[in-house]
Amino acid sequence: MPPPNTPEEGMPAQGSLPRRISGEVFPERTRRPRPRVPTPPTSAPATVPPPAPSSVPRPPSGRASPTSDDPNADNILAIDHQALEYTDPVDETLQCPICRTPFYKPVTTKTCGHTFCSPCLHRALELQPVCPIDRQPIDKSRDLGQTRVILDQLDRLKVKCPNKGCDHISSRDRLAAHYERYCDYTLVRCPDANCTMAIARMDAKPDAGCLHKDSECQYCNKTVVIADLEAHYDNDCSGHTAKCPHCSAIVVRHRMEKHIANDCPEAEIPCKSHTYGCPFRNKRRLIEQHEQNGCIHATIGKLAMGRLEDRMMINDLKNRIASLDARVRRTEQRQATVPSIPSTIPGSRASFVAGGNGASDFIPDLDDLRAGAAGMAPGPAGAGSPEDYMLAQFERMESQMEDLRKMVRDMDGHHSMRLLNDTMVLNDQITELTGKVNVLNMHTTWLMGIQRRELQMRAAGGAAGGEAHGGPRPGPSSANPNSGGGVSLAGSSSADGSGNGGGGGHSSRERSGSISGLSVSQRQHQHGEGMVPSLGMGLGQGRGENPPRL
Amino acid sequence: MASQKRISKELADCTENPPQGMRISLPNDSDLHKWHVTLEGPSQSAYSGGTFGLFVTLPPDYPFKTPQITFSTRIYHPNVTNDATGSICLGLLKPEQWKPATRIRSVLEAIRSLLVEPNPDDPLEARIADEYKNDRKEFEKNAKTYVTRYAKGTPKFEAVPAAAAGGSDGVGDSSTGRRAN
Ligand SMILES: [Zn+2]
Ligand SMILES: [Zn+2]
Ligand SMILES: [Zn+2]
Ligand SMILES: [Zn+2]
Ligand SMILES: [Zn+2]
Ligand SMILES: [Zn+2]
Ligand SMILES: [Zn+2]
Repeated sequence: MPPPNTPEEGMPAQGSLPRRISGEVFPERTRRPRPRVPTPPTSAPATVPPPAPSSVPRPPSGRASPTSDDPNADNILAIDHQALEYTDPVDETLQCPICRTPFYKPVTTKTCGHTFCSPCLHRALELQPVCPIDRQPIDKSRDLGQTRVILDQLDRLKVKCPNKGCDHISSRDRLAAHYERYCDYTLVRCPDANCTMAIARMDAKPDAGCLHKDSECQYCNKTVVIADLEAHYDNDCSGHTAKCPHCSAIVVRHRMEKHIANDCPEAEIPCKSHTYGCPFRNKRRLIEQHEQNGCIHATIGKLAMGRLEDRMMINDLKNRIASLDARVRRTEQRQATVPSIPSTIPGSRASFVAGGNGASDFIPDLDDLRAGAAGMAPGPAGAGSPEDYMLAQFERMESQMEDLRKMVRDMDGHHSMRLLNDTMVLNDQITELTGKVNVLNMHTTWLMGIQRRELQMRAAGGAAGGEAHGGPRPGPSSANPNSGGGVSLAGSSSADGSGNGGGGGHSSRERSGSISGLSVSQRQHQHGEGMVPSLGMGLGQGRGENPPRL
Repeated sequence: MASQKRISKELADCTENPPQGMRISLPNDSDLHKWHVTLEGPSQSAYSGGTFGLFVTLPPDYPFKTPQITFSTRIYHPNVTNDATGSICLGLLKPEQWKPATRIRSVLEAIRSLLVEPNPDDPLEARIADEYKNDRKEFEKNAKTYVTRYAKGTPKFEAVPAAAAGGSDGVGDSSTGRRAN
């Protein structure tokens, strides 16, 4: 009987991970994860099919390897970041709202501050250039940025190596190094130059040659490529199962040894703590009970382990102290030899400075070094050799460099954050000021209009006294040549200020536009010429003349 | 593929903690893109006592493209076509309004509230919308008749809805077609 599917997606059914060594991993990786949730409650385990190998047609022994088109690529598959498994649950705030996995190359929108994986967001923007959360328009050349804080948190997340069979766990920023350079399970090109297929790094030994050759299965007489044998045993070998002699479970035959050694509940094993003297030996399930009930020897074992670790740490510390000691001694020796030099320095330095060449100020230092080194060379035990000194110097500089690099990076993040914050405030202020300026413009225009009218009226005098009241007044927005200066001002201010500057309304509409909290209301009068802004700033009223109304 | 992880997460969310009055199942365990939803008619609506089936079809490029949701059970409602296709008119589900961050759960919840509160101003069935606006009693009577006739017992998910097979603009097509009548 095959073991029932574990509901965990992508996990093989038993504790024994099928190790794949050929291109076979490709279909396995791209295969749809089996649904995690709905384990049919009614179906008896006997009817559950074995881990669905047949659901996806296998390519003919993975011969269509993706390496073939890129001969330089040593590694074949890029890490699928969205399929990574994290050791701990990841905070919801670090997950992309589109793919719902921890952000990969996160980008944050500047307009609304939402963060997504870069590939997710760009895919969404291809279809519609708006934020996938709130549909704010997004211009991807302008509105996207990165947030250092998020990146740092993501880098620290612990992930499992995506290769099946590998137990390696690392922080996310180090995963690529492990996967691409060190992991034994990563698929690389077959060492045989004539073969274009992929093989796990551990099997890619030049002397083993190409494993992509046919062989016969020892259980079912089928012809299988050597590299695919393991997968064949696990999936489609017709003679692939056998009954365990201890527990009568049906087990993939090739895994029987492993089953008995690691899993079989009826196989007899010693207590885990037998190395600490526990004599108990029984069937695995009883041993498990025994261990759970608290084997005394296990406690002893723990203590012993603890002591061992302590001992190791102590040794480590001792070594470090010793090396530090040696270093201190060396420096002391060097210092002891140095005092003879200073007498030579002031003179040489002074002469250089006197030479008036500021740039060559460094040279005396080098001279000092040389002199110091020369002075040290005959020192005891050769500890103060110039090479040593330079090396130490170099190391120090390197670490300082590293510190500086870190500082610059922090500063950079800090700086861009500040810049963003500052400009936002400034932008707001500018908008507000623009609004105010517009309002002032309107005022000036209006006041000038009044003044001009007064002047005109005065000039016209009593001759046409009656006209002043009933007739059309030359307002700022009329194209009156007399009010030339005012026209353009009024025009621009009304358009900017109200935000909907459609002119020429002949009905007595009342419009009000709000500019950063400053409300402007305009009344447009029946005859269109006398557009008079009345505002809450109390400028117009100061004149003693209220806006004219009809 | 990007959508797999998200879909399995959404499915887990919806099965472990189903939206109010709903049950989610997969007709085919190996296809995460097709869901069956069983929806209890909300008690404060004309559909109380009925049990409705919903087909959920997630396109291959979900969540970038809109999920398609149709009623598998006939329902008398201004925003659902009064035929076997059961297309639903819901703002959230319109391709031009779809937000990739929206989860299926919210869509399902929106459909449930559409039963509580139909939206006669954006109807698929203009006649039912008129009736809903002008003769609420008659509307409720008709809705209840449909419930008794079609929505009793376990919903059937047999008919493959034409709209779901017709691509992402299926809902839009049928809505414009019907409004033109
Ligand atoms: Zn947004
Ligand atoms: Zn994403
Ligand atoms: Zn690994
Ligand atoms: Zn080979
Ligand atoms: Zn075989
Ligand atoms: Zn066994
Ligand atoms: Zn023991």
